[in-house]
Amino acid sequence: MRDDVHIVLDSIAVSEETSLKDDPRCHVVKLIVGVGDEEWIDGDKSLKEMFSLVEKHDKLPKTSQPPVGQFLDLFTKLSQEGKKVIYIAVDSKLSGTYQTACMVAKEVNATVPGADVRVADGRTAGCPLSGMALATLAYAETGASMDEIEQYLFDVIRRTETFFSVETLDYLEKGGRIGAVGALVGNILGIRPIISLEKDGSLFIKDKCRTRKKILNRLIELGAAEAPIEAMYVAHAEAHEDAEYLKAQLLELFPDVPLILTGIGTVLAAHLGPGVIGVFVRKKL
Amino acid sequence: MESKQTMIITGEQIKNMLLGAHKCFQRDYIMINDLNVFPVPDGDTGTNMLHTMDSVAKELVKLKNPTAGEAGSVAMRSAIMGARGNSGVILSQLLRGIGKGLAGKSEVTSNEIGKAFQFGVLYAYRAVSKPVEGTILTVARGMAKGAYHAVRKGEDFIEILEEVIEAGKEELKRTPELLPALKTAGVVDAGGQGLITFFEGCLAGFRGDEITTTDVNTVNADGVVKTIAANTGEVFDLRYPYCTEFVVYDAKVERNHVYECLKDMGDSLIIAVVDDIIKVHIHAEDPGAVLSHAITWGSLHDIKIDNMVDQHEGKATDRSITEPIVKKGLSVLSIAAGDGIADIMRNLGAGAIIMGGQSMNPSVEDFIDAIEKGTAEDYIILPNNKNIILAAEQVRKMLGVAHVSYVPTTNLAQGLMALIKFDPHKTIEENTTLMTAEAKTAKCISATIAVRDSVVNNITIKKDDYLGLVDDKIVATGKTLDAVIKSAIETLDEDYELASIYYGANLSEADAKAIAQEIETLDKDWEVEVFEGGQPLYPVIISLE
Repeated sequence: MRDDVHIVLDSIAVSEETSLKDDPRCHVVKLIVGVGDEEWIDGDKSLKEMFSLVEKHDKLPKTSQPPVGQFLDLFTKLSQEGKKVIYIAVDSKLSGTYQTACMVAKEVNATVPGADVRVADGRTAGCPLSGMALATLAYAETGASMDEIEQYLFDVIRRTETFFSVETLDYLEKGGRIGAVGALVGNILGIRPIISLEKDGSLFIKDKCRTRKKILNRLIELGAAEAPIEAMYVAHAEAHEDAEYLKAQLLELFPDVPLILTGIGTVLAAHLGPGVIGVFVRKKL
Repeated sequence: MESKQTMIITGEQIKNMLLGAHKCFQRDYIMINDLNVFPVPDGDTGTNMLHTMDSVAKELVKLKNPTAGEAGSVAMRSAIMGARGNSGVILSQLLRGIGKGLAGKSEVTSNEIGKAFQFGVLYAYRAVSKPVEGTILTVARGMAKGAYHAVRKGEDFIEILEEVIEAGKEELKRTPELLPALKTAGVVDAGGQGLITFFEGCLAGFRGDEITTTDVNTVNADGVVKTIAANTGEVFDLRYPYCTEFVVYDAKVERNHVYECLKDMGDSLIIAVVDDIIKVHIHAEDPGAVLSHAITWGSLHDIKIDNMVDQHEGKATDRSITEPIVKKGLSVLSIAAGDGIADIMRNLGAGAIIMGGQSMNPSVEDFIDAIEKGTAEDYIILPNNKNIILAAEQVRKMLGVAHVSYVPTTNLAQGLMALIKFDPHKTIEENTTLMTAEAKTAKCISATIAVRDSVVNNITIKKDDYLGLVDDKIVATGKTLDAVIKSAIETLDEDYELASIYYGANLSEADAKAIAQEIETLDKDWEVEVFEGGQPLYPVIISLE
């Protein structure tokens, strides 16, 4: 196993629910979440606990990037150990984490002899970021150079498509992320939007449905329309049954394509609200 | 001049300065938070800056008589470790610059510390990778210029700080001019205000001024209490709580006249004029007085009055956006048979509504009138009644297929299904095709009262009996409402997930809920929802999907 290339992920990637959990080449920095006066490090509270706090305080959660010092210490330590580092950041429109890490990487590259820290904007959120890490580490095994690995990762990011549905637009709206488009969805009749994350980081309302089955089937349709695909992901916030349904249907359509199913952490749920469910696919080259 | 140049500043004074900045953030952070254009869940500017300074203060108080270099390096390190959010990161870079400027020095002159602060502003400036004018960046640059001039003039440190603050305030005032989002929200840039708070705190800490943190600032520069309306990002003044909007057609007055009449009746006044149409938006103390004036100008339409205190508390759900009327884009013109239905259709994105339906079919002229007065260029019509389809076809012929199309919806269920799929980003043809396909999947059950004796579909109907319909066919009759609905449901042979009940003007909500409960007990595994439709003649319309 090649050990000179290490990956850094943020807690949004939920790598602990994947095989990266026990990989010494994978490191995690954690974001911070708060509701009202209570604040915790991502992972320290469950989604249920967070949403019951939201109810209790009648306030939406707020999230913050990891302290700059966390990046500085981790990048410096790994560089001093002679490791080359690639941080795959959560979508830069969702969090300022990417930008901060870029700044720190620049500094570490300039101050630590031999340091090679690179930062990639993952352009999605949740378990596909872990999927990117797995693909990158596998590619590194071919003996590729850092430049080649970086190019490969950029390509993996480019090929990854994100589709998800939220139970309520409140969270995205309060974040100023859905804007005028959201107003067209309507906030009555229990309509749920199906949203795609576009390559420029904007959210696009693909469709609107009223019933659970239609939403799930539409997500499957959208994912399947990207075929041929080489990897599939399902992520959910406490929607186990829906997630299992998506998994079963996707595997029936694409029995040979690997699929990772995970939950989402409190930071991502803080931006999207409860009941979120998403399908992600990586197109083949 | 000479004595000013040689003024010596110790590490202890630098420590006090930064502790002063920390206290100022304790005082100002809520005010800075309130300057956010959106209540963004990615942290608040003021809170983030305060957290960053908390971390600095915690380390600084541990230092006993530090050198200037020590104070600077502790501040730098602790700020970087404690930085929160983008604004915190920028603040930490400011301290990093100051720290670098002080490095290795035990005491500094005015000139040296002035330069260190210049460094700090420069680092803060560089932390922003995509420069946008009208942000913290503009303020930082103004401050750097102020500092440069003051240092060159050889002023003492207090004068340098005063000039920096003054220059920063000047630039801050300009931020709304440079960034439209700020102007719309009626605020200045939050990060820029944070920079000023930082330097004011430094000055106060240096001079040993008392900074009271018991009074938390929530007052803006004008001295007026301002609050951000949570769901609009609009700033409103509590003296003018009524957001009032309306459109005047066939206006007989000029814009200037409107302005003169209204300017003293409230704030946030926006007047948009297109030909003889005037759209007015004002936050008023007395909306009645505003409308009394307006009625003399022409005919009033789309009148909307919201109490923004309700909006602020999240009670209101209206999402209307104030925009001047310019005919633009594609919209939906939908026929609604009741107020509740009209509200639901508007909420789902119908840009124009004509009230009508059974026994009150709108005329072709009504359609053309509505389209001419609407804000969109092109329209897709939803007739929602089979007796209105022909009128829609006529309108399409008269106004041209490029501008008008229709989906042949014959009932409410079809209309709503079609409307949900409307997407203004798609063309009129694409939408019409998609919406028509979707409408076909709808199933509609309704109940009404027979107006005379007859026999239809082999069913004998007596006057005043209830009739149950599936789509547009009579399938059941009976003496009670719930009985005919149940009979109608029994004729269905497909499976559905969701039943939405729209109850009419002559049925109470309680009665509608009772019917919903009955349907739930039918062992259909349906989700049942109840909405106020307000339609005449049909006590109940149910859409199934």
